[in-house]
Amino acid sequence: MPLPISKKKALHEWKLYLFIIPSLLLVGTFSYFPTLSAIYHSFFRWGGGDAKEFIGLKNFIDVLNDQVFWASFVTIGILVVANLFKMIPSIFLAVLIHRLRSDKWQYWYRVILVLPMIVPGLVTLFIWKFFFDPNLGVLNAAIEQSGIKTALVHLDKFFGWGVFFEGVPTAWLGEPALIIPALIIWGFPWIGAVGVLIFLAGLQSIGTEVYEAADLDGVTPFQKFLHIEFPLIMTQVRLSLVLMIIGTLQGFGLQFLLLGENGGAGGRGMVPGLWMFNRAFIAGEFGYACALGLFLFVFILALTLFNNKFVRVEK
Amino acid sequence: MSAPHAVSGRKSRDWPKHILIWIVLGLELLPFYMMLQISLKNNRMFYENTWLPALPQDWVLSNYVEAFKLILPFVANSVVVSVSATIGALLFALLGAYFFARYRMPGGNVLWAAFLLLMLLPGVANIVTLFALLQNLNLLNTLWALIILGISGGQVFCIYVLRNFIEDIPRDLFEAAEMDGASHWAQLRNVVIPMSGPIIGTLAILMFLGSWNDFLMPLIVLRDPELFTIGVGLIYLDGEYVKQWGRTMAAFFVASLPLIIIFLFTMKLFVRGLSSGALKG
Amino acid sequence: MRERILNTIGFGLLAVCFVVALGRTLWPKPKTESGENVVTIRIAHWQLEGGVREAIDAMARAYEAEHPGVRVVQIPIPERIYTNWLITQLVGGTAPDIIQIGIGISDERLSRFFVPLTGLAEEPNPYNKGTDLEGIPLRDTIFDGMRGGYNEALIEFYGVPLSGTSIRAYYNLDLLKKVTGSEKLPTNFREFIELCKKVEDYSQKTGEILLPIAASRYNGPQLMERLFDSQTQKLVQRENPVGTLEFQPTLTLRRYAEGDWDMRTPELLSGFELMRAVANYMQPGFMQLQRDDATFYFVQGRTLMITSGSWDSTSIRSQAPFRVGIAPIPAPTRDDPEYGEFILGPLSEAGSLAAVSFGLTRGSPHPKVAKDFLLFMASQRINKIWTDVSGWLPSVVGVEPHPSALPFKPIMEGYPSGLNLAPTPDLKRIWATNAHLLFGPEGSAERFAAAMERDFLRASTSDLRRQLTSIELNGKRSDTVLAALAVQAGDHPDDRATALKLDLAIQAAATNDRNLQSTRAALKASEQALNSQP
Repeated sequence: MPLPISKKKALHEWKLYLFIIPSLLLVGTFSYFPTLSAIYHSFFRWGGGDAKEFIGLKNFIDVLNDQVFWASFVTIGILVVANLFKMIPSIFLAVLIHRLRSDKWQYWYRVILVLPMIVPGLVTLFIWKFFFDPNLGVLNAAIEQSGIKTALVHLDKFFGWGVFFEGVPTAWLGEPALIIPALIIWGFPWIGAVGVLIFLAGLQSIGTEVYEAADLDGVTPFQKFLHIEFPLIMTQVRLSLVLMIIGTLQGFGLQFLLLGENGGAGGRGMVPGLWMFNRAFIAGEFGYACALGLFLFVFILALTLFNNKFVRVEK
Repeated sequence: MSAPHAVSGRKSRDWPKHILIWIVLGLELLPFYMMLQISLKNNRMFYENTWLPALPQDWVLSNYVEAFKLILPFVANSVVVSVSATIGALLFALLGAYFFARYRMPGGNVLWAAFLLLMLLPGVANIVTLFALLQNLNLLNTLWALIILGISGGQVFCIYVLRNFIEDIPRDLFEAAEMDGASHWAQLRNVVIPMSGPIIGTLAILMFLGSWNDFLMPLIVLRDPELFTIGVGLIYLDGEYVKQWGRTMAAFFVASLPLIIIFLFTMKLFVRGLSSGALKG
Repeated sequence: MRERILNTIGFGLLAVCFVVALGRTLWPKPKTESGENVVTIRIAHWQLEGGVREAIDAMARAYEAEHPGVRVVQIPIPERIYTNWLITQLVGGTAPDIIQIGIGISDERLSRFFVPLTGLAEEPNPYNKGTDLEGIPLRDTIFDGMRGGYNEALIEFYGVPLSGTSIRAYYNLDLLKKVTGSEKLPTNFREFIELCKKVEDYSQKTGEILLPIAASRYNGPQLMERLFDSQTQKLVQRENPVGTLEFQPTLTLRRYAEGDWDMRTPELLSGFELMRAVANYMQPGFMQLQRDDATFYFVQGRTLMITSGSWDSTSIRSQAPFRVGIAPIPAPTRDDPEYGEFILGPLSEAGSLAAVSFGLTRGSPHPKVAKDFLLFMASQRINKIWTDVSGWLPSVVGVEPHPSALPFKPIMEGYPSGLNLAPTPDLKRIWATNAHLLFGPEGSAERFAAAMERDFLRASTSDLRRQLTSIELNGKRSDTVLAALAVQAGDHPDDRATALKLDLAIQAAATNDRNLQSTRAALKASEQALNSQP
């Protein structure tokens, strides 16, 4: 803990205040000011320049009636749930790596895991976009050659989706009904390097004796996971859950680059962040975009506070 | 590293795990395999042979010549932005963290709360006004905008982590330095920085990766192609009507190259840094 | 210890990179800094097709050579992010001096951020001095009277167009020779369909995977619309007693609401059949593919033919490892036994507008130089550079197109076009959502007609309603403008630009009034028809 300090001593140490000034200035200018400015401007019709017109709560009323905005929350809800399931492979992989006896291999697997992280995110994103290409895309080639396509065509006939046809390339990002499935498939096999590393760090506290005891009791690998490993990484799982939810709610880069500023065919890939970006930098309605941002902010804030409480209590 | 649980009876049962891990990692690395093998083909070769690499004598090396010409200026800009932002962010964060960690200064609690509050603030909400602010500061279409935003964006997280770390440094070290008449600046340099090497390294990696991967701010801020960072450069490349996939993939690889090279040397630091950084984050 | 050395090397490399990169950023190449009074103007566009960047570069270098002290920088922006980029630059005040107008531009943005060029349009282009265009107002030196750069709602010129466009059929000549033994391009629909059959037979015989037509959601409709058009020429004439020969969407929609024609009218059914017949020769699921997918198929030699605009000509030629033949789209003729009945004759392209229109931004720090460069590009001499380097059509009267652009020259003789079933947003939408009923594996003209019949009236009514709102808004705006101009023209009777503006404004007001009447009538009829529906 920092030392308590008397008023007199603090006066003597006034130079210490100089240390905090740069950070304070930066944060004040580039975090606090824009936020306050956003709150202020959300009451205006504002096209981004000097000219603005006070319109009271009109922007907020418009947000409440904004079909696209609320529909985008449904989309993001689906994506959050999907991301929840996408955490499973990371946990699985972390447990697998942790159970290896060889330290050397554990280390090298970590190295391989980190490798995708140092490739610029955009490169991964664009390679995946290329995978979805109907014509040359690897995804279509894979489902075609593995016979999954035939199964999908049969399912399609049965359920009447009208998206998969024999001999017709599937347009993953061009067909409205397929956009959300494509966003869910994105990143297969859904290994988050940071996630795996977090879980591995959590697993470190399991000592040899625990496994030995379990082995003596004849515990199956799955029971081992359920009773020994999972409870220990519970904190990490919850932590990455919180990070994932907030990250998903805020993020729109993926949708923007994969589907375009309008959320792709039929606007099915529209998420709240992208809609805000769209209103500001496509429609030029900066004031309205500020109001959208505030809604998003309040929503995320509420969720964060809820999560923090949740996480703390369980600890 | 975790303790080895070498129980002799389980010795023979490790290989299924290795196979499973390799399958998962193989799928995970598939995009990079595709990138590498397509980067050496032209469109026709790729169309005729999707999955397997081309034979060495057929390699289309001109893809790389063009990719280097195209991407290197972007890489240079990205290096300038990311390195400056990382150094700046860590320098100011060290100063700030030292302020909070050394004494309980009057007003410190209020400032600390002000910093913590920002942790709850989603960055997405103020992108619009941030843009207007940069315009008023005449920073649009400059690399400075990206550097400054990188520095300020890293403050809260870095100060939070560093404060905890500095508080754990034994108090006698500071007192001994103070006895010798060292100023706060000297204490920071001679006590704090040597003691917190690993955590600084970790934060540096995280800051660097964050800045290196950013594309939204550069896309909004930059106008002139000679200022483009990798992110914007790749977005422009993706927007070409005529796609030479081999060349595009070669460009992707060239864009990844600088970090891969550095990674080869500093692998251990990276893995350790990211593991522990992940823990704190 | 080893780790330490490696780390040092790693970070050392990074440091070296940083220093080198920093040097590069801080001290740019001397040529950009040479001379103290270098004026830099920037020109932005989304024309990333082959040839355009080179052409603009050539024009810029020509200008720099004649105007020392000026540097012209080109900023090509992908179409996909053009809107976002444009708004960001305009609002942020960093917009380039000259910007291509079209994508992402609303009337409001035009008037707020761009310089009206009506005055310029009425002045002769100084760079045409010594040519046969000397002394002729700028707008009359562009083949369409510069209508391609005119905004009807704002009653001002905002852009100067550099090029003309048209849509043509591209053929793989090497493949044609292999399949038919000759290089004769089909001139009408019969020959074209026979050719398609031959390609299929050849593909079956040899086992080589070949398709007659490369299509996508971009290229497919280009061909379809032209073919459908041929079937409805007579219908449009019949439904259009006013006497103007052009297709009038509003009037045609009104006639639909009044029950004069519907989706099962023989002309339309015949048009649907025709489209389906052609779709059989395209890749399955072409409506799922993008423009570059279709181009890729074609240049890889997988198909015999593709339809696309003149703008793709240079890209296609430079990528195709075979010789390319270009011909007008093979539409049916009047003597066609199956589809000849409803045809007037070949379509005229005389009314096509000039394209690649550039405007001047208000925020430009060097407005005079920017304007000068724009006029420079639109001069006869430099427009020749444009067509020669880009392979695109010129826009300036009297400029001979580059040989490779010749097949794209507009066809002047011919007949007016037929019906466009999807002229407005909602009609476009129902067309797209129902298209699979026509082109899909289980589709038919009848199924498509039934589905269109079901959705058409509702969609056309909502489009008409939107149209009416915008016409009314225009009316209000143009009344104000008209009044102001009348006063101004009274004060300065000799000002040619004002006179022109007044003239345009009067025309616009009259047009607007006519549109208002016809839209109101069509909307009323549509609403009535909608209400009487069960």
